[in-house]
Amino acid sequence: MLLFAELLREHHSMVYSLAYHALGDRAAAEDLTQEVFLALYEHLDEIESPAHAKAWLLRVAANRSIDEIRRRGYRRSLSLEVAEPAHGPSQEETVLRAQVRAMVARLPARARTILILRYQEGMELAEIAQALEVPVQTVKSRLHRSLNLLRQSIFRRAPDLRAARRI
Amino acid sequence: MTGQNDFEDLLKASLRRVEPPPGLQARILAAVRSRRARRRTAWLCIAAAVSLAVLAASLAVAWRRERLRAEQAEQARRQFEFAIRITCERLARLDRQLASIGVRRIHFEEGLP
Repeated sequence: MLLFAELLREHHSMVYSLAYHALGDRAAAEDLTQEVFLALYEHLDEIESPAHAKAWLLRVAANRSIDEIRRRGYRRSLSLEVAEPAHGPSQEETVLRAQVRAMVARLPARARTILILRYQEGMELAEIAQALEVPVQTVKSRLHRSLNLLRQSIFRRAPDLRAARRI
Repeated sequence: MTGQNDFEDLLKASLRRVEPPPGLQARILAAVRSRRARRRTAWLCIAAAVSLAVLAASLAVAWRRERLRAEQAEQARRQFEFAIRITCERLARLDRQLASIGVRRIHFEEGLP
């Protein structure tokens, strides 16, 4: 139980954030986080190290997020609210970030999850491939396609911002 | 800074980690404890059910064994009565045959060698 509490304290933010970016719904993200940690508790005897625990949590959270997106059959179109720090970005930057999140939320389930793992967690392509149990080439091509799609969407929706940031 | 890096920075900033609501950790721990307690209760129920089943089976076996023993005893009693009846009938017939050919009854007196 002590080990579990430690893992929960250390990783609940990662799992919640992944689920929130994937589902765009705070309540659903909380439920998914709870499910993932309950599953971890069930498999605690299989966890060999803290690194293994983190990889396990990422794999399960990513796959459950994908399942949940597909189960719900929706593509979130709202811009996800994310509290910015007090001395955070400008209004313009905040709007752009919200638009990016909304665009990410419209991507297909797996492409969305790949982007979240790449840019939220800073994972390498091989790590993402391992977590999602797909070939590295699949991750690479989907990431490339998603990034192109996002670039085009940003240009279409906010050409001035694109120019300002030289995207 | 290149456009590619700018774009990646924008994605990193947009998809940075979101803080979970306060109390989520506590809720998850409570859910784990609740599940553990439910599981323990379920195991206790299963153990009680198994114990009751074993007890009932033992009682049934003991009752069946006792009934079998009683039936065997009753059968033995009936066989013994039947054998005694046949013996009595044979002895009575023999007595009549002996009487018909004039053999007197032999009387044994107590105390004779």
